[in-house]
Amino acid sequence: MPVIHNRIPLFRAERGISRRALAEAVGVNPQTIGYLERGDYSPSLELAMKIAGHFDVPVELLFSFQPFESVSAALRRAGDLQEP
Amino acid sequence: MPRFNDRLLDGLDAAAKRTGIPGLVTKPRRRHLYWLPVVALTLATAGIVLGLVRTDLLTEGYGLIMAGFTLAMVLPIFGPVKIWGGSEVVDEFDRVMRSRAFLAAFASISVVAVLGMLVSGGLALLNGWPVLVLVRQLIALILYLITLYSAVPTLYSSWTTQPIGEDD
Repeated sequence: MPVIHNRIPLFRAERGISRRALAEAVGVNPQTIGYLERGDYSPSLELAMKIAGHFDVPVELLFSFQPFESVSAALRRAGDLQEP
Repeated sequence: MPRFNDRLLDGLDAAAKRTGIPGLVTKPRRRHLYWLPVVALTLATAGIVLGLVRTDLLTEGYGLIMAGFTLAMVLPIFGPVKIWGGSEVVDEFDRVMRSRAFLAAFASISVVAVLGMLVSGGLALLNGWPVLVLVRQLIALILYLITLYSAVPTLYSSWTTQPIGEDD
């Protein structure tokens, strides 16, 4: 079974949402969000879309088969692009 | 009169809450139980093997199986697998974990049931056991299978997942 990577912790931190609040919003237990974030569990399409909908982003921005670029690498790349 | 009834019912509710039992029912403290299912299965396995090897110690073996059986009965209440028909919120992770845990339990029950019947029947033929001994062996096997049904899901889910807090 392929591993599904996600950026739930990043989005949670950015929006200041606790694990419990996100869990209540999408109708699961807080532990399930924890298992998702840790990569121990791959969500159903329904749950993935509910989480993406809660953050108001496309689902592919939150979940991917490929590992996501780290925040520091993305910032460095953005800085390189801005330099003349 | 209605006010008296309200006070009476409130008092009864408060008395029930003080016992702590309603709290257990509404939100049981589930946790990963690593060693209790191992102990239950070890006791029960030792008991059934003892009864098969030494028919004169069948009662002692039966006692060991009952000890494992009793311990195994408690595991679903406090283990990580949420039982069917309970009052707890069950989400998709719980359902997936429960399916996998019981699949492991049913697989082990199938294997042990077939092996147990073959071994009991074979030993009965070889040693010329009386019918009563064979019946007691089969009762012990049934108790052992119920122990497996109760202990293996907790064992499986406790060892295949790592505990996680609500806001780790």
